[in-house]
Amino acid sequence: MMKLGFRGKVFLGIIVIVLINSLFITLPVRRIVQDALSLEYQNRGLSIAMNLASRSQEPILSTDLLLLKDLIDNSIRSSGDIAYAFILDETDRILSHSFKDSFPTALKTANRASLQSPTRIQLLNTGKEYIYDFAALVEIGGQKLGCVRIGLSKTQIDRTIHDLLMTILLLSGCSVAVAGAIGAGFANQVTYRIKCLHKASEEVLTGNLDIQTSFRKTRGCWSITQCRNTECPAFGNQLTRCWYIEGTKCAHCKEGGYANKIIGCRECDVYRRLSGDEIQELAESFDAMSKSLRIHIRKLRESRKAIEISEEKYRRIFDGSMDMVFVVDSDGRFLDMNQAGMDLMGYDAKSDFMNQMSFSQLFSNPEDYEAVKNDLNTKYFVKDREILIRTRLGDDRVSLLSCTCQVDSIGGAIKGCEGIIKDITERRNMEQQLLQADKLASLGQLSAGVAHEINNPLGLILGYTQLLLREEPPGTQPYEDLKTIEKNTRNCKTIVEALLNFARKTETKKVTVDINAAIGQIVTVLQRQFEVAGIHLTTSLATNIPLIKGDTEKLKQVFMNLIMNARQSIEGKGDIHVFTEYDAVTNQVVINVEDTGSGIPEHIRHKIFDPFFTTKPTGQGTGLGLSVSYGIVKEHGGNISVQSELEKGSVFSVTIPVLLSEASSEIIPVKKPALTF
Amino acid sequence: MIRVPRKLRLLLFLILLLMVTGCPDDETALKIDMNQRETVDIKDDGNAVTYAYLPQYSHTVAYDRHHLLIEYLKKQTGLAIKQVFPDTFNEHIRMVGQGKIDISFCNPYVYVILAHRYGEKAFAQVVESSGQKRFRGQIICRTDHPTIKTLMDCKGKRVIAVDLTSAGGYLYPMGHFYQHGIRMDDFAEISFSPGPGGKQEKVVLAVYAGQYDVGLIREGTLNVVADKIDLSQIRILAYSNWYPGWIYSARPDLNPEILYQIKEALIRMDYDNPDHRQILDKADFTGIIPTDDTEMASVRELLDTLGINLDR
Repeated sequence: MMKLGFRGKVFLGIIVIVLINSLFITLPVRRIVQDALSLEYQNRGLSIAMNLASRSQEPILSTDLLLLKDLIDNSIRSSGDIAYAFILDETDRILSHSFKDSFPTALKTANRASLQSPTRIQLLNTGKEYIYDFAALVEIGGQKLGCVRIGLSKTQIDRTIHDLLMTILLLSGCSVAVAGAIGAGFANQVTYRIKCLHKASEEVLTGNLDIQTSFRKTRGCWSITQCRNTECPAFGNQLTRCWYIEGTKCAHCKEGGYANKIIGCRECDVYRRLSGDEIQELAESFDAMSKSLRIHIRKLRESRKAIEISEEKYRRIFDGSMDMVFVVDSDGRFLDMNQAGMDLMGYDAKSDFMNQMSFSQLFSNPEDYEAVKNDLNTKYFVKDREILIRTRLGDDRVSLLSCTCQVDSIGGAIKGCEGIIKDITERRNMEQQLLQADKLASLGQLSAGVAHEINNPLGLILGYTQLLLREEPPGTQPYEDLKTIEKNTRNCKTIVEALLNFARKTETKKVTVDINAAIGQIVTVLQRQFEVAGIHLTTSLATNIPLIKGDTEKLKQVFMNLIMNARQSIEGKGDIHVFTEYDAVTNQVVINVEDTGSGIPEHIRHKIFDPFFTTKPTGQGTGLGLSVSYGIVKEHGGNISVQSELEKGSVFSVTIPVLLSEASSEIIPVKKPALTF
Repeated sequence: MIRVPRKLRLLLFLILLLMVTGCPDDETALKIDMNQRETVDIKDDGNAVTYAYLPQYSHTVAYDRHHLLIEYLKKQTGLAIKQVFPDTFNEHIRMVGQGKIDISFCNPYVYVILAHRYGEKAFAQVVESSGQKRFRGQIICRTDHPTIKTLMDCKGKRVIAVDLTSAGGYLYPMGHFYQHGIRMDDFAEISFSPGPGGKQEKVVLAVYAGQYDVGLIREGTLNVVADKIDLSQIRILAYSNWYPGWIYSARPDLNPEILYQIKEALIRMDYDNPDHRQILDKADFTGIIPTDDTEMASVRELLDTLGINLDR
């Protein structure tokens, strides 16, 4: 069953209201009128009876029966609803009556008037009809002369009341019909406008905000105020009231939109005269709202587009950043992290750290965290703070932390913070290496200078010593002395050559070198010797090692030095494992010498390549082995590094690039596309 | 407890309201049988003594004044006495002649006529409320009448009297006019008050209404109409001479014993007796004294003077 619509409800409501109103008015009115009519009827009957009684005094006294009959007949004729009339004397004898034939006996005593109650009304039921019987005493000076009785038919008054009721019901019916017609017209008008609004709201729901629901107005603000300002946007606008229009030119109009204007407009005569129709106002405000909504949506779309562009830009920056960018909440839980961060920290997915890892867990060093926390709580930011972070795998990375707190503008509480962590481990290593290289280069230059200056005198000393030896017979003291001089001079010369080698001041003969072969020759020489000492020297030589350009002898010296150092780090039995590999990515050959020796303490690890640095007792080493090896490797464009753990051993790794130009030891850089901006 | 739905409660309330407001009260009707009939019978008791008051006033005034007296007489004499009400003076005279009035209470003029024509016998007369044994007539006009200032101004005016047989309301004032040289022919018109009954009052009302210029009434009438008109609008131009008061007379063939009982009862009335005073006040006199026909000589003399023929 279809639900009753608004029009039907209004129509039905008006009819019900009018009907109830009619009932509530009609029935009491009917009652009141009936009572009033009955009273009036009774008063009239009494009046007739009393009048007849008054006029009957004289004829009763004179027993003028004719006059009494005339009086009765006149009374009967005077009113059509008098059923009967009769007059009794003081002894209740009938003096005269209006009945055509004999008098009804029962009627005589049906109603009595007395000196105490001079008039009396009694309703009689004759079996055919109801009659009001009125008795009026005829008396003079307190003496009863007789009694007048008249009967008024109740049928007449009932008919009158019935006619009245019918009239009221007819009028009520007419009222209902008229109210229904008016209600239908009103409901039609209202529902038509509501339907317009409903249709418009559906249009809005479908996204069409270009709607017009209010009717065209014939009167506007310009006609009321006699305005002639055609530049005013409200002038001549028959679709929208002026208080919905922004930028109107009235002197008392406030700037801005509806929200700013309406308070002032309510005081305006135009508003007071043109407002009042609620549905029209609803339609107008709906139009204004849709118009405002249209503008706001357009602005919103523009804003959203701008936000999308901005978000894309910042997302690109966020995701594309090579540094770790992160967001944490006020409790220090990570809310977001870019890919670089996840790579740095060793996470594969955001779910691995989101709401699981805390900001404090980032720090390897608790002191760093406390310092950062203190700065954030006091200054709300940290800039380029060098910290040591610990990755998921347990690696410590040297990083620079910069972050800023989000501070609640109202309470000043910290809602969270965003920051950037830049991994500078490699750079720091590079810096150290550069520092080392610089240091060794300086040492090399110094050593080369010294060696160059000493080399010539040593040559002279050695030359003259050998000349003197030729003149001295062997076995003599001078001969032995000269031999000692020659021997130490040669030692000095060896040192000087080593220094020159370190400083690359020696001549290098670059040829094609098979690294595996060079290693094999050295291992063959040393393997038996080491076996005797209980040291197991093994090799794992990769077969894909390409040939390189280099000085075979110098490279052999490097490998010899590394293996000998490894041997010397092993006290008693141990293992030395030499293995090679080819790094195709960097196009480098890597030679590793791994031992199970005592390892290198952390605090001297950065000094081991320094010239003359040695852990051996005085006289057992020159401290030039590793520094010379360093110089040779650098001369080949390679690098040498060490990883060591105390009491477990060390691994020295030598990398030598494969592709070397003939003229330079620099690695030929791979060309990449250049940026176009 | 049964929970009545709200709509049903509302409906019941409306029905109750409509019942209370819309339904009339039931009236109790007395059921009567109109089929049982009777004929009218008002036959009089023929033995009753009839008592009539000359209708100088209306029947109601006559009844009101004398019904206590009738009751008194009934009580005192044990006789059945009935007051009858002739409509006019002439009817009163006629009814006396027909024997329908046993005891007549009339003015001396009518009594002289009744005595002359039917041998009526006077046996008592009243003492007026003023204490006088006599009464007189009054000549009245409107206070604001433009031309009547003195008695002589009545010449040429329209005159209304009570009745041709009225003593105070015609005979005595006419005697007064005669004594002052004004004859009937000097008036523009002489009319008599229309009957029946209330003739004295009608004279006053006719003058008051301006229908007539001059009115002739007996003294005391103005008191009767004091509650009907503004008496300040009526001016008394002159009083007539004093003449005997109203007479109780009996028809000559009335049983003397009855006459004696009635006469004695009337004469016994004492104004100082509270019971009697109420009766006498109601009758507008203060006492009743014995009299006889010889007391009417002055009246007969006036009639002779005026040349009134008692046989007509």
